[in-house]
Amino acid sequence: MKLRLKIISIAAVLILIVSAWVVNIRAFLSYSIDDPVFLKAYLAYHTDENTEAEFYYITNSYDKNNWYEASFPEIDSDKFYTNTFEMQAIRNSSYKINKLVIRLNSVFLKNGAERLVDKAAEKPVYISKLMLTDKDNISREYDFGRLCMYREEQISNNALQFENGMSSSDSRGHSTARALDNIRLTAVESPFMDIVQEMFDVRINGTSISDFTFPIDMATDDSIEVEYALKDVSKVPGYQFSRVFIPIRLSGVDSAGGRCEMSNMVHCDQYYKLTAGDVRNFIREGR
Amino acid sequence: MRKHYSQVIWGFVLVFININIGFFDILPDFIGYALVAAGLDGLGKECPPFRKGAAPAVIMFFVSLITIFYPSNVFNSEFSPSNIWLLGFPAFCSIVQLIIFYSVCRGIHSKSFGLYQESAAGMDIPPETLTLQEQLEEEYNGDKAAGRRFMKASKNRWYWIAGCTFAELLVLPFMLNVQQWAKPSFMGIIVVKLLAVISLLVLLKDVRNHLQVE
Repeated sequence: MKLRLKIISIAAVLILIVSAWVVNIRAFLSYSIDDPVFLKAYLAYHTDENTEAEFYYITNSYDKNNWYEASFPEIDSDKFYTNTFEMQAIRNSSYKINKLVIRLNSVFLKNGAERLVDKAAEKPVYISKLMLTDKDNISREYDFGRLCMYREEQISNNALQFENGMSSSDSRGHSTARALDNIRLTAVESPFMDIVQEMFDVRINGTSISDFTFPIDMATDDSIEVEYALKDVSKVPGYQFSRVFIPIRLSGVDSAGGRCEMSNMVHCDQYYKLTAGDVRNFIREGR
Repeated sequence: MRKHYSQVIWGFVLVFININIGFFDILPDFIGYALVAAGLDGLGKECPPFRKGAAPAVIMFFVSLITIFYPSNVFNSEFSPSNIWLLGFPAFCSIVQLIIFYSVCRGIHSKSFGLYQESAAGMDIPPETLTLQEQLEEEYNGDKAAGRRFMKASKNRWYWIAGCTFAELLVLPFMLNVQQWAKPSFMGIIVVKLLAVISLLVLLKDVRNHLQVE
């Protein structure tokens, strides 16, 4: 009887141990992801010489990065080098967030004949895919969301002079401009007006841009104020993080018929903190 | 004989005490296992159950030689599907160690039983049938009591060490899925096992001293 009890106890312990091993190994293998998953980014950059585009992606916590080359296949860019950084482990999960940084001024087109930042100065460039090549020379295309690049040149002899401006880290800001001449403002413009209207509450002299009517006339030394504030949204809907620097421009004509304008940069830098549940859902959707 | 007991005791001390300078353990385990193997082999000449642990100690000698070149720590390792088998390594070591401990406990038990039988010749009372009072009366009362005490103690130590090893084998696969911060909580089992091993070594020393062997 005693012997039988002993045998049953030992068998039970062994079954328990084997079950723990089987369940844990299965769980471990089922949670691991074969490929990095990019967070959907909404990026809009004014491309100057130092602009860096940042992308975030999820990998298994044990994965080591082995990418060394990248390209933008949609615009047929040349290959360029990337920098990757491990950001942080996602609490209560087996994943980590990593950052991939691309110096946009080192991206060339047509075998080095043209720079991407110069192309963006001609007209805004939109990119949503990134081709990454690993050390084994295997390339794979990733959809990272949306990257908009543009560059605007300042006009000379501007009759609308920028006076002062400020912006804060909570995505609020204002700026004022003074008319140096009698001018007529005819429009408010932006290369990404859809984003501006979706995400920001922009006011001109206290009136929302959607209610503001043009043209308005300004006499010499009159001032005009443009304010912006991020609407009550934590991120651009459908995207995991957004980093946008977008100009909104008041443009008009001076008394001599010359062009005048004031650009005000609205910006927001929203990084939505992912929980383990978010990541699991996101990965499931990605699969 | 006394030398062989000391070899086993000091061998385990070297195995279970790690003093690291950088990655290098200045008390290398392979020397410990070599001493344990030699000691158990020597003791096995008089008491065969001891000898059963010599071969596993030799296996552990080679295994610990490998770990000098490929040190691994299950608490710091990051497992991936390609190196998941690494988790089997500490499990294998625990099982082999368990066999060594079994042979030591069995050896002490057998030796003590011999001692008990010699001193209790003519008394046909198995040690388990004595009442607590009788046990207390007999405590420290010559070889008979010592034999009985050693038998009980060796059994007791075996249960603790086996229990801790099973617990270790049970929690080991959870290392794959728990967060890094939770891993040190498993150290509790290792601490209890270490205490059980220390008490086994103390018992082995008592047996050696009691037998007054040369």
